[in-house]
Amino acid sequence: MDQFRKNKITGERYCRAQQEAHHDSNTYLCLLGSTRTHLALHKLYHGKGDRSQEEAAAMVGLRLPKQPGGKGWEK
Amino acid sequence: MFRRLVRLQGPLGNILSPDKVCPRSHQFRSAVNYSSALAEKGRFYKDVSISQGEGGLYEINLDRRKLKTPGGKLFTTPNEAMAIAVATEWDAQKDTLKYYSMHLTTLCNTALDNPTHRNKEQMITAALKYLETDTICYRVDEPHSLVELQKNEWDPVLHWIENRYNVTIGSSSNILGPEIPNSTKDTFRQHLKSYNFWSMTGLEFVITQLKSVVLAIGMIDRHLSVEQAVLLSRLEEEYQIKYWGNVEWAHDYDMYELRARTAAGALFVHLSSESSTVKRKLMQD
Repeated sequence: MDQFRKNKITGERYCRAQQEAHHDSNTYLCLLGSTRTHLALHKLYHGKGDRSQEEAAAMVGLRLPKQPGGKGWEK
Repeated sequence: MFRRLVRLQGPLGNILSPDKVCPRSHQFRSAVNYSSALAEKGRFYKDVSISQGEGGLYEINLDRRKLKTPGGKLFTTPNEAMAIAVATEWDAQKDTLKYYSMHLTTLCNTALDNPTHRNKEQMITAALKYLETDTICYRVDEPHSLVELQKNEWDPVLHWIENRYNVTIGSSSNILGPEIPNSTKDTFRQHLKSYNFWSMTGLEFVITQLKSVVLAIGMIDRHLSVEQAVLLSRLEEEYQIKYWGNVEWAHDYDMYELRARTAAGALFVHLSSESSTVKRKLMQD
């Protein structure tokens, strides 16, 4: 990662005009920041997925039965 | 053979799997295939690095393996800065690969593979179509404060672009949208022609995201920042949010996604057109 940070700074020196470089670096900052925020929001609100069978049963106060040999179609 | 298939990674993943499907259990099998295609791929590499290959193009290496596009081609970028940015995207992935967050990689893949087989002319035509229903030109009649807001925020951008490119673009509040004179379209067509294929890919992407040619050009010409362009594109939404309240999991989510994509598009255009005179020979398709 450190190597990349060093390289990132070098990359930005390629731009000539100072204002251009400033705008471009702001753009890149926006990209990195908003990607990170977007992923965080996704994880927070959209990432949970389905409940397992156990959790669904627990919601109404039931428990799944345990079968010692496992159910016929498993495995 | 199987291992080679696994290695062909790209943002779209690889849906193929060399299963011998038994007709009896076909349905069960296809359920398994489907779920494994949707299951998130874990990060299978430790290090990401870039290297320069033939023709001065840069490649990305995940551990020892070279990155390839979904189309199977070798993934290359025209300059080092773009390669670094793409490599950073891959390096930023934590336990699982989230392809939908790797915007620059996706754009490069589109430019390299050209899955819809379009040439620059077709892209320019498609991009200019957005001008007729450009967000900036499409005004409402009421509520009055929104009309004012649109006038105050959008008119300056319109004036800027009219001065910069010496064109006329009206704004209109009727359902058909503004009448764009042909000379305006021609001026923009000429301007867009000056971008190379890669930059055009990025620019069309930005126009599609912002739903506005004026805002896209404003941002690419560095007149607007990404945040400003996204704000102006979502002006009515922001207005309603101020009135009715913000819903984080919808509004913020959309806004940050739009910001990320627009920023990626803008960066893509700038990085692709940087050394355009030098790299033009290599980028010809």
